[in-house]
Amino acid sequence: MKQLTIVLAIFVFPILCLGQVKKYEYVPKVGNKVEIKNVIGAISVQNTSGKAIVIESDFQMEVPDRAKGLKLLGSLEDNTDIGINLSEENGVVSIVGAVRQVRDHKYKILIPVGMAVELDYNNPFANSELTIDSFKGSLDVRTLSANVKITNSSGPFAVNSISGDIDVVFSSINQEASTSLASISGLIDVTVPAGEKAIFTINTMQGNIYNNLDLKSVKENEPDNRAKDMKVIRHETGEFTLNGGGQKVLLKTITGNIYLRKK
Amino acid sequence: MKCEEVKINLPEYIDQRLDEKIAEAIGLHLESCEECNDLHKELKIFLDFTDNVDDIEPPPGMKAEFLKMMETEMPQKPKVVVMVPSWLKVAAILIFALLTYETGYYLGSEKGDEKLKALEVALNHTKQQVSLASLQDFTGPQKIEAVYNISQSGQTGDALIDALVNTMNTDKNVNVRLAAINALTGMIGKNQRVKNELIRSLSLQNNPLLQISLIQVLTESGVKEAKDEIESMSRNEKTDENVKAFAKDMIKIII
Repeated sequence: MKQLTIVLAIFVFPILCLGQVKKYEYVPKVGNKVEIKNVIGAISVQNTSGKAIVIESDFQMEVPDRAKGLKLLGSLEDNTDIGINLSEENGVVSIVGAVRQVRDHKYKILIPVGMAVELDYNNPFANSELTIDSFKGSLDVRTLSANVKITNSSGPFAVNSISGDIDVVFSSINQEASTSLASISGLIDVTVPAGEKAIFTINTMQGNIYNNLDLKSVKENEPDNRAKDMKVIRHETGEFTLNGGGQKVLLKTITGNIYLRKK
Repeated sequence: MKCEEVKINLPEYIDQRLDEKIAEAIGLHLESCEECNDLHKELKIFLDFTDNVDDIEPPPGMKAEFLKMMETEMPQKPKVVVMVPSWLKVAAILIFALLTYETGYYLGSEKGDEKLKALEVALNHTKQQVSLASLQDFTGPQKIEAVYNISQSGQTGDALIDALVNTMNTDKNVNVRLAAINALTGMIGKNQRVKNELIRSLSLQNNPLLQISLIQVLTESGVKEAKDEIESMSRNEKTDENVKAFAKDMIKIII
């Protein structure tokens, strides 16, 4: 029995500690917007039906022995014990990475329904894929090379990236405000329930557009007698309605392809 | 609690729709802050007044007459989405309520053609102000929506162009700037200033996506005046490699 206890203490306990997920909760005083900056680990964002912002992370701060009793110079205070400084001012809750080590950890951030999120991931060291799931509300995302994957969400979204892919599976298209997805060399892949209404403005310079949605061009093309009885194999850049039109959805790439799919 | 937080929450505080703790904090703040307390009193008087106004029955035939007049005298207006702070919403409701009352009064007494037009101008002005205000401090998608609505109004007045140019050059959200570029592109043939502002913006933007979008718009619209600026970007060592390559390709088109 004694031996078993020693084995557990030596091998199992450290493993449990390594995989330990810490949780931090904050109920906003006013909070209608959340800004996430300098959190360059693997981030996932979801809605929660509760009133509190909940951040779960496997963050463990490793402090060198020499640094014991000293404070980090030039960094924000880690007031959450998960490498993050959280503050609220003028109705905006700021979640800011307080130490460099955040890049090596995972963060799952649960946001109360109705709060807008602004996520700045525009950092050369931010390479993980951003995942947003089941999110209903305004979401702004900015990345350099990281991919953005949004599933089962309605937005509205404003996402831009230099070379990251933007993959969005809409649960429905929010009709209150416009959605805009833009990437220079990344691809844009959008999946929409077939019955949704929208006006797509699609623009790519050198990419191709692949589509199986029932899009109708807003501008009537002039009849081309040479193309009689032939199908267009590539939609031109332009404005298209889906099911008679609805909220605007702008898709723009320079070299990346654009994919439009029926759900 | 700060004054700004209190002001934002005053309408909900008066309607008793806030969490107990927050309501208590606001109550304490109001006791110590004269400015917020005055605002609270004014807003409460106004909201009590609107809650207690009886519904007024219009004279028979007034609605049909009003709709007919609207049909003949007012061009169809594009939708305007209002996304403004609570205090501005309250102000807009107040203005709208007064205008509606006056409109009804003058129509009913058959005095009203000239007055109605003046009111219409005032209402349009208010709508435009509300639209411009909406560009200041909201989420990216809300601002993009406001930019689209402005661009669809068909107007090209200086105030609108100023708002769009300012958004294109200074908004912190790249997607919002992109929407402003698109909106201004739609006005490029209607106003020479728009062309100049798009060219000027080439030297102000530092995001590659926006730089490429501007080059694309200017070259596709055949704006030859942009050639020097695009060439200069293609030679500048600090320019992003993607932008450089794109600029070099597009210069061939613009000649």
